[in-house]
Amino acid sequence: MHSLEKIIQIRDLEVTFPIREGDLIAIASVSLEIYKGETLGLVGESGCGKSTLGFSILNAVPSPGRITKGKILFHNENLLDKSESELRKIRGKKISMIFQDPMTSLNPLMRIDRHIIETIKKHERGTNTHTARERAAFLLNKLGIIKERLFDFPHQLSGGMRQRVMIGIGLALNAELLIADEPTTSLDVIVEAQFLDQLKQLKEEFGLTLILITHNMGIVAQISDRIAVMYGGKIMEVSEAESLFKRPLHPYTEGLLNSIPNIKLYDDNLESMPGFPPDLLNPPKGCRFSPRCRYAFDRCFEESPHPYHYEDRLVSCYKYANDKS
Amino acid sequence: MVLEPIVELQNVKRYFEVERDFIQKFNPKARKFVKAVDGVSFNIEKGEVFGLVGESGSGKTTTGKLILDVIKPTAGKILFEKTNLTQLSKREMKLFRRRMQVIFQDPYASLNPRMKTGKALTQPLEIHGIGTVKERKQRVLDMLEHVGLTPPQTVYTRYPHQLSGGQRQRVVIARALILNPDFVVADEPIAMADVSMRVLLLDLMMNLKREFNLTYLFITHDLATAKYICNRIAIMYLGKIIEIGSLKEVFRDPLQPYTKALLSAIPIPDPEAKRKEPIPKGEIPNPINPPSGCRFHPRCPSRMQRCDKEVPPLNEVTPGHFVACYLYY
Repeated sequence: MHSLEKIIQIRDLEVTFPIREGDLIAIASVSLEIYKGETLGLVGESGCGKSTLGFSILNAVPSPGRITKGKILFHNENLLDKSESELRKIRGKKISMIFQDPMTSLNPLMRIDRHIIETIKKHERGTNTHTARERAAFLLNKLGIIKERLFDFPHQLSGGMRQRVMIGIGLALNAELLIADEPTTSLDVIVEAQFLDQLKQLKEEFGLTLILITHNMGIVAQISDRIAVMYGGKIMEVSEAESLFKRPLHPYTEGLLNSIPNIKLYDDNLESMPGFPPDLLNPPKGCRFSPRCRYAFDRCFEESPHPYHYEDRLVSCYKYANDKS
Repeated sequence: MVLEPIVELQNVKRYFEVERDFIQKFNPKARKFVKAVDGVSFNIEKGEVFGLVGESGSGKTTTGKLILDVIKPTAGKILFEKTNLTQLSKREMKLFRRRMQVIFQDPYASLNPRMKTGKALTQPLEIHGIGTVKERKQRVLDMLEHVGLTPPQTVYTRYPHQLSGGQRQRVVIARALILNPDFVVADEPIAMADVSMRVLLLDLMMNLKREFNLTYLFITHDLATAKYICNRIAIMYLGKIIEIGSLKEVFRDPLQPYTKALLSAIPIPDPEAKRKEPIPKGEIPNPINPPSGCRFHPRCPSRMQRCDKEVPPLNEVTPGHFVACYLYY
């Protein structure tokens, strides 16, 4: 379980992508806190802004996107005020990120030990290659990659092994916070389960804080302490994992949970959600989920709800409003 | 349901030769093969949804392509309503092509970006010489409406890039059904769709199945989806079928240790449900040199002495439930 120390505080964040058709607001006034030692699951469908939020934490939103508003506090220091060279000391060393497709994240011309050695030497000037290699070997050994495979090229490894190398790079500098963006999407179920077990174990061992970005509710249920649900560039609900699955508060969370098949139930009736995700160039005027929401009332179409506190959870929905207007 | 097979596979094999380097080309002994499909037999009954489930590299897509005659088998027979497809000429095959269609995973790759929806759907009718120009257009518009693309007149003139992912997959489904087929191979049809769109697409496919009396071969890696729509499922591992049975039996009482592992590896969307079975170590082995005997034996928690020596045959354990494992021999 997590402590009360906040490692990251995102305050009123807005990320804009100026594109030919206009300004696309990928993230709109998002606030989120991440506690030391916890696993936070960040879930949502494609295009909801979950990956962009991950990049924002590193202050590395891909161009043409820009952070147009808000703050990202890392140990109470605003990352958005830092210079590129200051950021470079944080990225990889304090906060690292791993991505969905390990084949495109690894250099195909570089043996796997090199990837880790280079990372160590870049950040810790003066480390000699020999020590760095020892550390790489130790780390990969922990991840179940034997010494003999250290000099393989990425294409010689299986998908699961490549993804473990990625984690190795992520952990090479003892990062405090690991952001994993869909780390298992390219893996098969059995390998995925192995990988998640390993991730859990490493988290304990290294005292990591983990942000797991995924669209898979099953993974999130198995690994997270807390869950944040995103939709159309906004956070709909933040809750402890168990209570979220037991009783989803936001209508979108409810719809999402009703539409995923559960292998353990023998006759589950799946419900589909009508409509489409919002067009972020022309988002709905009120709550972004309102056109698809079965509980929507007048106010929902008029103004966008901010997060309300409800039973130690946060819900952006007027159903739980305590400021009746 | 009347048990009458629409598709029968009899000991079908498909080997792909691995490219050799320059020097090895002069050595015929260095020839290597990937046994993508290695002796697969099963029937698909008329009117059912038959699920073919396996991890990547198990040969499930190759099996689908073999049935559609997109690739030819190395050995074995594929019968479509008792006719052996492997012996037909191109012209004879064309008559059957009309009756079997396919839906692929990626709606971005399966639609020509320079072809409007109308053209993409009219083309199959033209190729098979069905109807007049006017009739074809009407048929296409009707089909668009059937798959929920409304108003059809507007969608008719749209290019793929003007449609959303979900709409595109509907166009692909419409194109597969425009020739009024009897049998459709759906190869991971919802894997690219968003979670909230998946159920809609599955429901659409099931409604169309009833409406047009279709039989589906549903290829997927996702057991949870298979469970939602299939009547019977077959589990594939490294080119071989290791278990076949009704959906209920396989899910309630999985027999092959691999099937058990596959079922328990699926992350359950419930934080309180914990995994019971241990996850087998390792990954799918190299298909060029697959393990001897039962192909799962190196990872199997309950392997016995004979497992690495002999290949277990598919054996009927309870009526309709077949398994390839010496534990049940």
